[in-house]
Amino acid sequence: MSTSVDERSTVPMAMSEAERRAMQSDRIRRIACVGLIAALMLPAMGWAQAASSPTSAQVVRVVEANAYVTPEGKLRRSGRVVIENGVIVQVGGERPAGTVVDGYEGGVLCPGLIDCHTGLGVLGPLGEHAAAVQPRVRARDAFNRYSWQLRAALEAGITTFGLVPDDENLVGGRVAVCQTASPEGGARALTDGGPLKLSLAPGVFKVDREPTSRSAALGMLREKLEAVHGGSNSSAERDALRAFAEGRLAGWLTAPSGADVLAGVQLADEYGLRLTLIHTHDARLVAGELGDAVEGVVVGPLGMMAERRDAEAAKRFVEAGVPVALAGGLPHQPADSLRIGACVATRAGLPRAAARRAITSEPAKLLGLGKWIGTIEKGYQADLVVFSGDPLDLRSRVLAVYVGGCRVYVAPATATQGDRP
Amino acid sequence: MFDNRDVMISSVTQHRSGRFARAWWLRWPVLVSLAWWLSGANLISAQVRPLAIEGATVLTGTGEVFRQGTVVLQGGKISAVGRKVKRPLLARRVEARRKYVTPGFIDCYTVLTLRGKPRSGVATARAADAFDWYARDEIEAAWRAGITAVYLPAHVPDGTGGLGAVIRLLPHGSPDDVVLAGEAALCSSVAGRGGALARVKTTEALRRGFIAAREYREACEDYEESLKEYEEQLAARSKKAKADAAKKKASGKAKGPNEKKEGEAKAGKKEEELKKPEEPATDRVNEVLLRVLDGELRWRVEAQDPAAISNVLDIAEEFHLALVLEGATGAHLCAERLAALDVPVVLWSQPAGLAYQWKQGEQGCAAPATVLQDAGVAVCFGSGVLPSRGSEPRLALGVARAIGQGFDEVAALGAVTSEAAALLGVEDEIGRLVPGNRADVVIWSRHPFAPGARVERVYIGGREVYRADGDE
Repeated sequence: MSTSVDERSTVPMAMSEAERRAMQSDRIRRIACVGLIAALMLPAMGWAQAASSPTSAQVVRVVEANAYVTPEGKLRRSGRVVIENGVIVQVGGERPAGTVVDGYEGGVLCPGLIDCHTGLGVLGPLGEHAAAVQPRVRARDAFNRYSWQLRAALEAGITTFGLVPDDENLVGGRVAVCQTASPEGGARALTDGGPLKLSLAPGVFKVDREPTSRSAALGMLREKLEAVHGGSNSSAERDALRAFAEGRLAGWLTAPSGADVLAGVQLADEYGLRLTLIHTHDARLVAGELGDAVEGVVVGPLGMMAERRDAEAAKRFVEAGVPVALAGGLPHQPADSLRIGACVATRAGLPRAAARRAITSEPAKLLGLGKWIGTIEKGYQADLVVFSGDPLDLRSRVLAVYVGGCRVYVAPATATQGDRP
Repeated sequence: MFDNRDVMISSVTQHRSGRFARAWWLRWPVLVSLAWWLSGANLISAQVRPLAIEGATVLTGTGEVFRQGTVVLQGGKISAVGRKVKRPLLARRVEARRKYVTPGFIDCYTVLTLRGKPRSGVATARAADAFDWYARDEIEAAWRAGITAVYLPAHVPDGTGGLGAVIRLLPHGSPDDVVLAGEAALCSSVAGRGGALARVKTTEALRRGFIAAREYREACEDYEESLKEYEEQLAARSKKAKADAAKKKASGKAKGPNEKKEGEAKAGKKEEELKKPEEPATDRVNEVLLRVLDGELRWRVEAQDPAAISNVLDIAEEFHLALVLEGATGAHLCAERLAALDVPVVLWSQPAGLAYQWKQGEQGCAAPATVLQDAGVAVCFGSGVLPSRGSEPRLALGVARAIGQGFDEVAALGAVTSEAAALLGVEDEIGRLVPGNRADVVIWSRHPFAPGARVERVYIGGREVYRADGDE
């Protein structure tokens, strides 16, 4: 911010009107840029503050179980994680002396599960349907921290979730990344600067507003993107769209059919967009055509009775080399739907390591937090779930959940375990 | 065969003196095998030949486990199971090391392949007749889930439907092989959705149905009695008439012709007074209900809220019926009563959504199967109503989830095999890997409840009906 203040002070008093106007628009652009950077950094700062909050500060905690999920998604024996100030500082190795140890006999340490596509704890609909393009809308504003659903999700092992604007708008707004708990106790929003949500679902085409057809929708999207590139659309409120058009902000496109997927790939190619697709049904047709054009695919939700082609979708994309994150579809699915989806996909042939990544590290990356959460590795936020076995095994239970190094849930039967000095 | 052999012998003798004479003994095995193939005997032997699945972990469904065990299938039945079972002569061998073998799973409630619904109140409509033998895709989806037999309901949204059936998923099989029980249970449902009034109405209709059936039986019994009485009277009268006639004959000569006529008229008048009792019309619906009242047929009721469940329990108690509950949302609230009345429950394996669970309030339960099991209620699983036509009934996943919520693991396998068969009254046919039971067997790549477990082969009646892609 200080740079912009300096700039303002050095503006000469005597200036032609045209120059001043040009200067002003430039200044606005700069301010917007700085503002955007600040907005992107804010959550990081918030996160750092949260991590150093008094409840977890100066406490070195060791969580021990029989195995842990590696960054590659494999299970490795001897799970020991040392947490300091809410951050993982050591995985494996020797136990530091004089620390609090939470031991879980037979347990498996898994990164906190991340459901990247939910409407958890939302008041009213997650979308404004008056106009089809709403880059300003932030899903975070609809977030209800006090919703009962958050606790149910937490007890099922979900620590982080994406709050995604609904499928009824061509441009639906910004995805918010939220957590079901925090070291302070209650739920919190990590960032509201998540990806921009786009959609080509049938709900976009309405009779009482544009667009009314698929081709009109794609035409409208192109128009908006070109307006940004042409510079005629420079108002500050269009920042999100501009950042997206310039490839600085990721976009998530709901693409119900294979044709929508191809349209998305074409747009990404043409304008150099960072695009993630939300697609399941036609994976067997389009998986081979994605290549490197998209950042990843969100598959799901996969119910226990999912059709065969849907169940195979994750496998098809992974085989084609496309990163896959699974969506649980809360709150319209059961609380453990993310794991159910992973199990369904695994039974349909998805490798188990890829399935574990698809509910932890991959969604973290797609949400733009791949360096902070979703992995048990040094330097990552200590969001952990202790399962009684393989997280992919529906027979295993959640024993405990940690967010930011704090134990926020302990299953009733294991309440006596852990916390031994 | 003998003809072929004759041909062979003659051909051998022909060539003995010819160019290949010194190698005739090399030729005859070729000719014998040729004759074997031509005679079609190989086709017969393929069916008669026993099949030995070896080296697998055998889960018999009764709780027994044989590591590196063998299962021998012969003549459509299981002929031997165990650890040290000798492979029979000429048996085909299926190597299944590190794999798991279980009885074919039994889905205790599915609408898979079911076409149409019975009209309300038609207790004689049979679900077996609505089974679509040619719905190959759906049947294959069941095989992929390790399911070899299903219970098909004949439900209506509210009230009494038809007769449920137990079906083996064996396309092209004979009806005897496919329909294990065409009349397995009478299906009813009490929908809780219409509010308390609708529920009370339905309950009352069900009760009236059973009362009407009882009255029908009484009417039938009355008829039998009065018919007997009538016949007795008729016999007595004809005897009397004969005696009278003999008397008249003896005394007739003395009397005049007028007197005789008078006497005949009197007798005719008396004959008219004796009326044959009216036979009540045969009512097949009531006859089905009577079979339920006699405990010959189970009464399967779908009830999705605890108030409806307790209403149904009242009726079952009142009429001493063999009740089975289906769906049973909120059954955990009446678990103790269910246990006391010995009523088994079929739960649907697909869990409800989080938002819906909340709407159910207290009736929603995270682990209904566990609560019921702990109370001593027999629990089985069904895939329930499938969300769409292409949906797959992944029964094993639903059961694995129940285990994760505290359901006993050994009982869990039983709940989809032996216990399910017992619930359906076909425990001597399917659901257990014991000699004499039908050879409905599934080979899994891992433990059926383990992550990534996949069905590799399915045998029904000893015949391989399914093999996973890529399995050689």
